[in-house]
Amino acid sequence: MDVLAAINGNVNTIGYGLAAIGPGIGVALVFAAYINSSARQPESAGYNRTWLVLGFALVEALALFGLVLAFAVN
Amino acid sequence: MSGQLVAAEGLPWPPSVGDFYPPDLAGPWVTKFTLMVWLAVGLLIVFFMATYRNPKLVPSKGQWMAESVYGLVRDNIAREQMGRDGIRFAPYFTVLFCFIVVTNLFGIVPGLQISPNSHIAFPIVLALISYVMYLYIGARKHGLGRYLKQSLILPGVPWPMHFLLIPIEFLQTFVVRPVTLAVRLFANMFAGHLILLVFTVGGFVMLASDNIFIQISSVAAFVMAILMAFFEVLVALLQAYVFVTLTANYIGSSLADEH
Amino acid sequence: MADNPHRRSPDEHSSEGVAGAVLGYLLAGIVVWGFLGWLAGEFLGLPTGVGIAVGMMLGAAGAIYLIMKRLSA
Repeated sequence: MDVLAAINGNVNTIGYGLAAIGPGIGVALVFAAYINSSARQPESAGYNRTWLVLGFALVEALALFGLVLAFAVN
Repeated sequence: MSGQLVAAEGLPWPPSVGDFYPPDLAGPWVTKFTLMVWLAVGLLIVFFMATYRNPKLVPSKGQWMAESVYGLVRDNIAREQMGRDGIRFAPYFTVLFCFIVVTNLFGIVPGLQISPNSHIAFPIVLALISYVMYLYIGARKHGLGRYLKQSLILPGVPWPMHFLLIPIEFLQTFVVRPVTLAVRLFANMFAGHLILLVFTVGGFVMLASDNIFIQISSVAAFVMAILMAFFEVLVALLQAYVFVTLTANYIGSSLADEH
Repeated sequence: MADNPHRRSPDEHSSEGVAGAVLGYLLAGIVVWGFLGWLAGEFLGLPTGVGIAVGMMLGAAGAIYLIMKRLSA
């Protein structure tokens, strides 16, 4: 078989790229909702901040699982 | 197919890490990067000396520029992150900010075309200064033992949780912070240079092919290269701002009292 | 320059600092406990992946607990 193009490297990189899509959308949604709510009701910003941090941490943990597993699994 | 595209001889295609090492200018100690760093230092010294040699109440154009850079750093970074204590550190932050901006912008200045910060040695040194600074300031303010206790042990937690939490706190304060500080700046400048190389060199490779359609579509690559060069200006300013902001934040958190 | 009416008191965390700290804590927690979990799995002879998975979950949980305690008080 003729080889027209070759790529070398690790498939884990592609896996991490795929795994980052979901958390990327999730982080965007979390921050969009926070900006939206604190623009409508500025006095609630301090209260919502707790939930902003919690939501961001929960979503971001998934992306970091992907990052660590991309290095750990071979 | 690939035979046509790689027809251009002598072009460094595909771009690789080797393109980040221009030949030495004079011996192993004088490279393009050392000259650029000296140039940046010289530019900053001359700029601030010249604009502040003869300060007036109604500022001239140069004095206004220097003052607005200092004011930006003092008000939006130092005071925002550290409160009233930050004013003391504002001169250092201003110099750090200007140095990173100038060295980052070297990446798109014709003739220089590469940022020293795209070699990880330079971000490592900058991050190391911040790292030593916030550790030293924290230890001096609280005493070494109390500073360690304050940054490692979370008050008001049932004691078995400390087994879980202390390794996390240790890694966060003493490893993750400086490493991310250095790697963020390095990765942004490295990736920016690589993107510019891909579009410009790729444009020339397409131009050198023997197919008229591929030659025409090289225009798109050159347009992208120009757009990306403007995007790099944004990245250069933003990364300098982020670096200084995080440095201020870390110093502020080692100055903060226990709550 | 006029004083900004929305100026925060200095002990409150800025948003850049919070975002960086959240990332740092999560990364630190997942890396350190993932590594300890992997070590435990190697020594106890667990099936591949169990140790690291449990360790990463534990680390993420600890990091989120820490973030909630430290940053949103």
